[in-house]
Amino acid sequence: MERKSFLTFLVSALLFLLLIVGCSNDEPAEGGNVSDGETDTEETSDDNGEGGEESALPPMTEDEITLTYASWANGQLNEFLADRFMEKYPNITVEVVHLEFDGWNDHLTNLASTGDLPDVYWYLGNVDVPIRNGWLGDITEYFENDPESEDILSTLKIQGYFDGERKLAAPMQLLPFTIYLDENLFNQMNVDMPSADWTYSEMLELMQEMTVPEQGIFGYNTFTQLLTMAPIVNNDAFGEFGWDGEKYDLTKDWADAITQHAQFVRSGVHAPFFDTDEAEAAFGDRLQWAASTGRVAMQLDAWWTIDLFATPEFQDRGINWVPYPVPRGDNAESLHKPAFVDFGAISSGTDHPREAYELLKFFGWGKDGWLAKLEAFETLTHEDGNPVFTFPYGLPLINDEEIWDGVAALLPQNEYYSNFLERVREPIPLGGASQPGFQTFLDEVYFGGEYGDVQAAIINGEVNAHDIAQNLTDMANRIREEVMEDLFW
Amino acid sequence: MKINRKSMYGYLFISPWLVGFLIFVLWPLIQSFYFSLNNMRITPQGLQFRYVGFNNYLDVWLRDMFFIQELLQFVLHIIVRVPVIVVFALIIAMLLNQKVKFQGAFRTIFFLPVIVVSGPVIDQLISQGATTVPMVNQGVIIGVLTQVFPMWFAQVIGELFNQIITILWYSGVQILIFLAVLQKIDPYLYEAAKIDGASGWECFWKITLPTIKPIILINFVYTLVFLANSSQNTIINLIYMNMFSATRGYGFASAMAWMYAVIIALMLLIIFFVFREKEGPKRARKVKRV
Repeated sequence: MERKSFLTFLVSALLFLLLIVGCSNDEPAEGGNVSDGETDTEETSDDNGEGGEESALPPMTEDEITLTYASWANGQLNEFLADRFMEKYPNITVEVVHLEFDGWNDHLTNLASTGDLPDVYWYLGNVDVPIRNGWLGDITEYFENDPESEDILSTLKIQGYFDGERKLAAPMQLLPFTIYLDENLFNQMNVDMPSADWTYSEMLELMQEMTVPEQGIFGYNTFTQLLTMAPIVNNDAFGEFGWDGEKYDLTKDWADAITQHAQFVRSGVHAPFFDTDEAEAAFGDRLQWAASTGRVAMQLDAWWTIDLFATPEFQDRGINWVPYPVPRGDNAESLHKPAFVDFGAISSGTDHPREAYELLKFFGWGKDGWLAKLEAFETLTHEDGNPVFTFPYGLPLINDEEIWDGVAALLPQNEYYSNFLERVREPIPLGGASQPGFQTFLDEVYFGGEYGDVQAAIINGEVNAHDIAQNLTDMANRIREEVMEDLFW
Repeated sequence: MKINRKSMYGYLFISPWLVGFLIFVLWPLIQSFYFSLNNMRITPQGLQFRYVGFNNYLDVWLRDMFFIQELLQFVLHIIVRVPVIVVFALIIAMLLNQKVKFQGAFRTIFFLPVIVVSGPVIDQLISQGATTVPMVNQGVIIGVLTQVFPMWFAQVIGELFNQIITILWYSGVQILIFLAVLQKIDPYLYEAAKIDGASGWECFWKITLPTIKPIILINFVYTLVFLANSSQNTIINLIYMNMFSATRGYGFASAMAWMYAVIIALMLLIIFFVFREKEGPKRARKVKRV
């Protein structure tokens, strides 16, 4: 054989081998590559149809099965809850899949590509990723026949119907927006602490009242934003940017709120931003967090910061941050308040959808799961004996006083906390995890479109919020429509 | 030609590379081209495809607002950085080629960054500001440059100064390649030239540079390919982001990667035509006569 032809033969043989290996996969025979636009979630709903005609939940299997679970919640908490679930259902083994939080959805993508997507999992931020890839198993049948679903907080119960028909995901963790007020600073300034039922306009007035430029005291500092809160609390909206369940509208409260915020930034009501010359001039250290200076009246933040504000670092500086719920709208009919809500789903490829649903519920909104969670918050310790949780990381997703009382018992016993817990029971999730197309709008228009970073452009006075609000509204609604068509193929 | 035992050994020795190439380069290339012609979903049941023809390629140019912008930036950076790296590498190589004490140690020092500056290490160094020269104020440089150049070009130069250390770190391999070829130049050529009264400057232009010209081409190619694949490259990051993007996906990202590859190939072609050895054999004969 000639060398050239031998080489050709060798390459051809290897290519053929690779082709055979590459074309083989673990798909079921009927799965195959879909070329006619049929979605796998439809197939899953057929799988679940065994009890579709019944009003009650179908029975769970008594066979020995294994379910996998992945979430970025505390690892020890996950293991604890998995043990409790296995105690309740001895025939089910739960394996917690550990993934790094950074690049969470990328890790899920990698697992999905190898057919190893966990039976139950949380997705991070952008709901378009699991929808587009067909990861979300249909739990409509189970959810709507489950008596426990009735207990879910009303504004969360309606979440997860991304195509308007099927329940594809459910809230798993609730971390409300929280406004911290420095009680010591208020006392020092002889300003009364507001009522827990304060209104949005009262909050704005307080921010201005507490600003004393000659003493270097600022009205507020932001992690969470006025522009996120305003449309939800003032307009009874069901999402960011004035989402009313069908359309976005940035022309009213969003435009007013960001204009107000921009004015507050320019006039010194807002504390100087981190790592700026203004911060250095005000605090003597450009890298000091404004909330740790003792010269800011309000910190617009989230529930998880409660832990940090309870540390000696703040108390030794004479700062006493106390939590307030986001104020209600002046003319609002609801108590809608923005919240960080993490969502979970069952895999569309799970072999045990009924049991996976039960696991999802246990880790999310189920009462048994919450009783176990309360126990975990109280008892889990690190190897050195220190408690894993110094406060309940996440609030209940259900209207069950036993659970809410259990959470309250783990918090400092004062009216600030009790008032807070009573007023955060109509949480509204942020857009990314709950609204298809929302992240695309953020990426392509809000932060990277014609105006660059819209918020920065408005704060810097480059554009007027009211001038561009209608254009942004149109684009947000158009992108949602396009994405809805694009995602469900 | 017939296969004999000796050539069989040869094939045997290169077979790991050949198999690696086929599995990890050729097959992914074929796959990515197939992906680029489809919309793709990574479902728990396996990959699902919807054929869209060349629409993904059209979308890369017509719908993605970042690709063209990043591509122009990349081309500008390449135009500025590649010559800086190659010229710096040549100067350092010539210095290291001198007979000085601790020659080996110096060579090691200049090659070390190649080992140190890999993947996550360089990302960390950059994020910690270790690759900037604090004395060099980018704002001042841009301020001066904008008086002469348009803003877009001044910014590119400003960024060059801002990341000057990184750029110099990228020259380790090129130094090594230059050093190898410099050591191959016959010292008698310089000796003869010196006898004829040539200065060091003239020797550089008349002997060194013509001799190493093919290697300059290699180093230009190497540097361009290195920068094009760098983890610091924004287009690579854009492709990666699109890969995991909900509204784009692997199909779109693959199309973008292919378009990027075509652009890089065109740039390589331009470099090749600029630096190719046009009259190589004649010059070789001339050199022999000298």
